[in-house]
Amino acid sequence: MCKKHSLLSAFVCLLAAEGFAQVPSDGAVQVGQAAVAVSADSTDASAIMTAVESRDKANRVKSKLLLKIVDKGGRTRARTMRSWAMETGESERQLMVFDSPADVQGTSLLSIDHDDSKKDDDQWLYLPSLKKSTRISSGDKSGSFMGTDLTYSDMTRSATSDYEYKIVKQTVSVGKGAAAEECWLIEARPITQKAKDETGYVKSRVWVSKSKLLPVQVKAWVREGRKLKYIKFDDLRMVGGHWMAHKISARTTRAREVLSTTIIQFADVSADNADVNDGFFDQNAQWWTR
Amino acid sequence: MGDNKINEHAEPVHEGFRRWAVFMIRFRYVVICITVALVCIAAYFAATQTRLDTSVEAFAHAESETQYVLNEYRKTFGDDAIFLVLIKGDVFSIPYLKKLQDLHHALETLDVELSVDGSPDDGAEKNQAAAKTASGKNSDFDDFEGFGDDDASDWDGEKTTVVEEVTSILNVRETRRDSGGSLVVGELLDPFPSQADLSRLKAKITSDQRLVGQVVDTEGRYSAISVRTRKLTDSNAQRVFNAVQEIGAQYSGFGFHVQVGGLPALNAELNRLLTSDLHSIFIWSVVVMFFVLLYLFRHPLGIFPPLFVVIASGLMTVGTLAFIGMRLTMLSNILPAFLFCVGIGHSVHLISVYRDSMAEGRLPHDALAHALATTGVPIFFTSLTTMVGLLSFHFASLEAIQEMGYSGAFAVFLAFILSITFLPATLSFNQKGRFGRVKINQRDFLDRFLDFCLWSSGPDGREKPVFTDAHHARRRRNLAVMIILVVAGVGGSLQLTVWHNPMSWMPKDVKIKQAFDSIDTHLGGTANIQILIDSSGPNGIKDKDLLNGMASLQEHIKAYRDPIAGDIVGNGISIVDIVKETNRVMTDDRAADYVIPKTDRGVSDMLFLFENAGREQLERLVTADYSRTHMTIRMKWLEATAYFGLTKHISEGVEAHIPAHAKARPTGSVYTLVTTIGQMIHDLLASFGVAFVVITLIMMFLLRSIKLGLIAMVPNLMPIIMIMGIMGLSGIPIDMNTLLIASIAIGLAVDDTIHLLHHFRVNHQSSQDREAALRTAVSHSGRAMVSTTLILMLGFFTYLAADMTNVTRFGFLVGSTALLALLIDLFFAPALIRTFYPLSNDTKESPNV
Repeated sequence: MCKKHSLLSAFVCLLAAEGFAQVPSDGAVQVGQAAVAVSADSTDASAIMTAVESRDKANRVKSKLLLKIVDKGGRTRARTMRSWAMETGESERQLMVFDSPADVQGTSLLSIDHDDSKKDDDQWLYLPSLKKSTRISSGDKSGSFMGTDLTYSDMTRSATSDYEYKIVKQTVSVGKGAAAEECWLIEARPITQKAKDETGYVKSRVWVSKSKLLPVQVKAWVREGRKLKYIKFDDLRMVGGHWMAHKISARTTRAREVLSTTIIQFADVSADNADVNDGFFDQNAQWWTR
Repeated sequence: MGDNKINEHAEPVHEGFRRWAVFMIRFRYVVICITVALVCIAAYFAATQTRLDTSVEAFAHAESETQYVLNEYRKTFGDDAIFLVLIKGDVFSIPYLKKLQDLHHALETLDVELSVDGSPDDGAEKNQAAAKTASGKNSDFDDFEGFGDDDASDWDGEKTTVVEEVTSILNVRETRRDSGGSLVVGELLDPFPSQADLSRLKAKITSDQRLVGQVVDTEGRYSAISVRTRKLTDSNAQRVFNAVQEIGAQYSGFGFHVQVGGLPALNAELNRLLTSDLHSIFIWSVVVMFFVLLYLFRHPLGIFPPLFVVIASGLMTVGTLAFIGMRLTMLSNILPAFLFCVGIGHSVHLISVYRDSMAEGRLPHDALAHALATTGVPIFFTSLTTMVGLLSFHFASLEAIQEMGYSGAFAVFLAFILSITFLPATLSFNQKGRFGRVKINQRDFLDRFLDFCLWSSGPDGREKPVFTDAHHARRRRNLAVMIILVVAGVGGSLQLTVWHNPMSWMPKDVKIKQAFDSIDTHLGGTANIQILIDSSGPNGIKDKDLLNGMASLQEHIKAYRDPIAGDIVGNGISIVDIVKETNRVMTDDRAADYVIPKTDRGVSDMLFLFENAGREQLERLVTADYSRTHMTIRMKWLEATAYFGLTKHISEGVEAHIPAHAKARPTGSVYTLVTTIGQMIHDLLASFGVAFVVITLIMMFLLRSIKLGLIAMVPNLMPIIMIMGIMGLSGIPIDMNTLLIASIAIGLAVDDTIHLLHHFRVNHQSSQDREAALRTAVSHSGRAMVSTTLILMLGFFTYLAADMTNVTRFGFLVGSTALLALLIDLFFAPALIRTFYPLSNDTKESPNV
């Protein structure tokens, strides 16, 4: 079984660490310290990415999100939502309920990402006008997630063996002043057809913080339409003893023309909430549509 | 005349111009060096920084409503111009579909090396700016630095491409539920069909009104691929068109016949043909002028300096435009024509008088000074009137016409400056050359012709200036002929039609014509009109009433019938289709469910669902904040004015169906063309009116007589009436090119009239003898006028060798105008003077005047 991580936790706490740039997932996830130690002098790109993957993550997370999408003409769509997420051992689960604007209020998305890669992930959308939940497709991983610049594959890990990693620069500084992070610049290239199809990327480059073992920015070369995608993870804060990005920005360009930009900002993030339990994520339970 | 004596009284001389000529002769080396240096600098800028913009929207004023809406549309949804590839064959067969798949992929990865001027950076910068503006004080959207440079080589051998989207029967949108019940926004033929699927697919697809006319015809014998590229400059559009054609040719074969069309393809082909024609006719007209100047003056200094004046003023104009960043448009074609008229005209007049002065016995430098003193004033005034004609375009509302006016006036000014500086400076090197005429009393065919012109309305140049009954009879006949011609011209003008179709300019065997015909016959058409719809604000597009209004508007437009072409409207594409499709799939998937939900919330939910499954499809149709959307209407290609009815029909539809709180405005390349043509007609007529009035006033001032000024406007206006009559009777329509003829015509006519009447006025003022003054004017100016007209006529008739009919028509009409202007001046101006101008005291006249 190939263990995966999904968009669920990505949104809440682990997005920066687990999704983008096809980080490996072969190692078992451990709570507490990083499962794989790696020194700042390491020149082994695969080992670094494995260490990034195996670092600890928060669980039973609640948060509020502000999602903004800007099109190439500069017009913005903004939505707020609440999110609950947990890791059950077999799957990652997340429930998002949209609060504003009024035209989407009450719309809810339930996602269940099975760790077993042979099982299809489940996504259910509750639409108030239909008064029922509807299953939505998660088959095309290179498709946009909720109309953002992020794709489902950005939030889903693949097997290490699907990628070839190399260090492009041993040390590169990202950010300014006190927020500057010393990083490795690592290139990830899908080498299996499955990985190529799922990501839609020719390759990607990941800037990994040496001190936090977190990707702080990613640049991806999108095959279809020959686009470039830039993703930044900012406002890194400790939540429940784990580093988390509280702001994620993604921008898609083609020939230096900005096509769209997505900003996701997190607020009121808390981990290890006892009320976030299994019953919360049952798609048959009508209460999740609240 | 008729003697060898130097007759100072016969020539109107200007002391200022005489001194100027002496000054030019004295500093000739300096003048020539400065001129050559300036021309070299201008040539450098012309060669390296010239910006060509032959697009239709280049005509619209940047601040006009039409251009504003088009810019808003493009800023929001990209370019509406697409290449269309039509493939004939058995669409629903595996070999066809496999080949289509390969062709589709080849077009998706079309790799064209763009020239620097086609760098997409412009658009990128605009969008960066837009994103920044939109973010306002929020810096969220600006912080994307530190990712390193974007380098094409970073694609690791993957081809980069200018193509943004390729749509064919293979990947056209299909909204459906998958086996698990999920909404899928997929591709029509994904997975690729097997042989067993084909008959079912054929029945399904050819009965789908959304697909028929867009990607396939009703019988499954044609399918189309649409190729949307980045916004391209003309030169890059040409490269992309060539590349698409090459790929099409590679795949074309038995059972798979490929044709390439679409608006960018048409523009590219037009530019190619036009450029090719202009190159060849420029060379031919220079060659013709060379030989005519050789025949007239028989001396290198009578040939090369005039040609240099024309070419140098053109180069310096283009170089200056390039230097200050102004563009050349399709209207700039008029510039060479103006320069040939003005530059050659100046030179021929100056050299003719210079030659005659030498024949009268003056030494070369004296003769040169005398020639400039004699012709300086009319040269100045002909330049002034031409500049006024061009500057009158300042009152046009279309920017390209204004720019053409400014640049044309500047070019004319340069031609004037070069004619009074470089031309005398170079002519001053002549020591012995007689320029084709040795003796002043040597009468030739031209003199006899000029005598005949005078004879047609009175005594000829050799008769005694006595006005007999026979003279009166001839004058009356002459005036009667003039009136008949004017009436015929007006009658012919009434037959004029406005009809603009660039396709009709091309030779019949051009492939793109056949492609357009095929696409119009078998698919929904090659043209399209966009309707930009702004709602009341964010999420306003989710208003069910607005969507229902859009659906009704789509039906209303679809129902349009052209009085001649009949059914010209093809498919419409809008967000309405997406809402209906999703609603159908999410309910019971029946045809009856293909409707807009009954509540705004229902609409919002359908769009939310679709957003998650088909983001890129949605981005093409609506803005991120759901405040603006657009509707695309496919149409058959017609001549521009035929769309006037459709645009009116659309406006009525908008009025009737779109709720008051929303705003729907037609736009797109074709709509811009249609409105531009209408506006151009209005503009050019208004500008012509301004020019006519101002030129009349200048003529009155120059001729120091209101009566003579008004008389002068008859031969100025008559060539225009007659050429319009010829156009009307011969079925040549008024289009973007022929509209300019009137402006050129008045420029030509005025020049001849000024030379003739200026000489007449000055001689009449000194002699008080109408007939003597007429004889002198006709014999002195007439020779130069005939020579100038001969050069212009032959020069413009070389256009008849062009491939494009608009170019051949232009050459024929301008050449004919030059001839008409000359004949009218020589035959009818004397008749009018003899009718309305006071008689001299010593001229005997019969009682029945």
